[in-house]
Amino acid sequence: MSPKGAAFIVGAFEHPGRNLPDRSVAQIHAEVAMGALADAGLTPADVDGYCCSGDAPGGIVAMSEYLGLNPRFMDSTDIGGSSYIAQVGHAAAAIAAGQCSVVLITMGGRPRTGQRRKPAAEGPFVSFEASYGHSNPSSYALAARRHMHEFGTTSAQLAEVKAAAASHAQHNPDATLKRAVTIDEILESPLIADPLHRLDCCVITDGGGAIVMVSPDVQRTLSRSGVRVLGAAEAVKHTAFGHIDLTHTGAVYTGHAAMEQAGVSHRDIGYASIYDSFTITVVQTLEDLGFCDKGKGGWFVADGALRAPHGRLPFNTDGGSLCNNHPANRGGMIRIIEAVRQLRHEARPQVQVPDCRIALVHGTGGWLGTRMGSATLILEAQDA
Amino acid sequence: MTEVSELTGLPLVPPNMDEYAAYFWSEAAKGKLMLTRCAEGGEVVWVPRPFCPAHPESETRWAEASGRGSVYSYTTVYRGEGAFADSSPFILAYVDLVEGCRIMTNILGLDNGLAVGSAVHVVFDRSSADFAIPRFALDLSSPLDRQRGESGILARGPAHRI
Repeated sequence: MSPKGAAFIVGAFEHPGRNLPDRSVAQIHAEVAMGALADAGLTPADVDGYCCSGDAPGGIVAMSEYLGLNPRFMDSTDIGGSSYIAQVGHAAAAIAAGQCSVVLITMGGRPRTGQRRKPAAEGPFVSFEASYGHSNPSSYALAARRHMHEFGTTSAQLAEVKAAAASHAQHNPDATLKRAVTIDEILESPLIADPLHRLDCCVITDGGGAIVMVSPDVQRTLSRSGVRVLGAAEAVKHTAFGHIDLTHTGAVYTGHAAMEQAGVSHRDIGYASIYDSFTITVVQTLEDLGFCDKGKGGWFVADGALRAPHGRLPFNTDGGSLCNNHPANRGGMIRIIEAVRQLRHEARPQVQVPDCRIALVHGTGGWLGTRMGSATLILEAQDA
Repeated sequence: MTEVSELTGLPLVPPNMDEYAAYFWSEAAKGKLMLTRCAEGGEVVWVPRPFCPAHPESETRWAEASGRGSVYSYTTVYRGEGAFADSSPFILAYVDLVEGCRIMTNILGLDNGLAVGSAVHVVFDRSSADFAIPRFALDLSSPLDRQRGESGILARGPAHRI
């Protein structure tokens, strides 16, 4: 059953904290859950569907108990930071099928003041990567180097992605890096894994976020405006038995599929939330989503296209993972929440896109240098 | 604590011997770079696996690779993590083997003219007979070339950083 238009996001809450040494991760899940339910005008007793990812403390059953939920639909998909974007599609399908009518999705973590990252389960490839020092920045750097080699992409073009995010973050009092930064400042920051500099990387923060999705019948009983889910798609992109191409992501499939399901084209998209773990992630994603030709992403961003409110494709108006917030090293949830703000016309006034009716959300969970789970959503303002 | 190679300054992370690919590591300890190939179609299946998705009724067979290839991409890592935290800077790379597969590895040496497309060859980094990590060195005048033993296996040498 197609989920198109069958579900609404009616509650969204981003934890305002970026440094939470005194909270447990379970507490963070609870705080964002209650925040999103309050935003929707609902309570835990109304919830009959629940999603969190594989990193939630104790897993989804323990989290259901902790939050006081009795879900009849659950999903703990773990494709890293894009998990929550994929779960919106899963929840919309479950709502469309009549399996549930109020779905809560939560995430939280403390990579800044707590455990930086849970050790990943040892997959069949671990010795072929851990032996060589594969890490998050180095993985994305391998992709950036190859993109530069094939297409002539420059470090200054990548830096514009950070500069655009920072130009938005300066209006967000909760942002971790809340000041404008220049291209030169980015290029002069220390190399972490060349060609990526420190300021090509996202911030590391504690925190979390949650959203609430409901059926049209429930939505009609609520006073808050909702956001309609028009399209959802997900894909895995991997090393393909020793033939990895480092210049594309799973967005090659998910962008087209989600837009086709939604019945929209690129010119309909007024705002884009693009998971920005690193600057190169955004450039490759824009190309793969079809906003420009393959290899032209650097030129697409270089003239200020991403800058709100008047760029060709305003993106990450909260400052994104690059400047605002990257709780649990998983950026997807906050990308959804900022798209909801834009479609409700509740973004910060300096970055609110005028007449924003259709938004795209895209997540890249995993690594550009090996394998990823990609997910795309198309969302529509309820009053459109 | 992971042992660090005296020859390369890189950690010698013991391989996972619980997987099918354990044979890859036991052969690497003998100085051989092994691949799996589909018994039906002949294509390389990397990382080594006992099956080929294009010919699911078939098996794969182990075959020794030449150890020659060229650099597909690379990065100089200034902030290593985990076992590599104290080994920075080092080079992480993908190498295209002449047999037709792209593998993650390290390129030894720094500031030696490495570029996308550079020709490289395998060397086996080890500190004992227990296991070896295949890494790659630039062809021609790599400092490591001069230390290669007849078997192509790095011999123990004085502690220094390459």
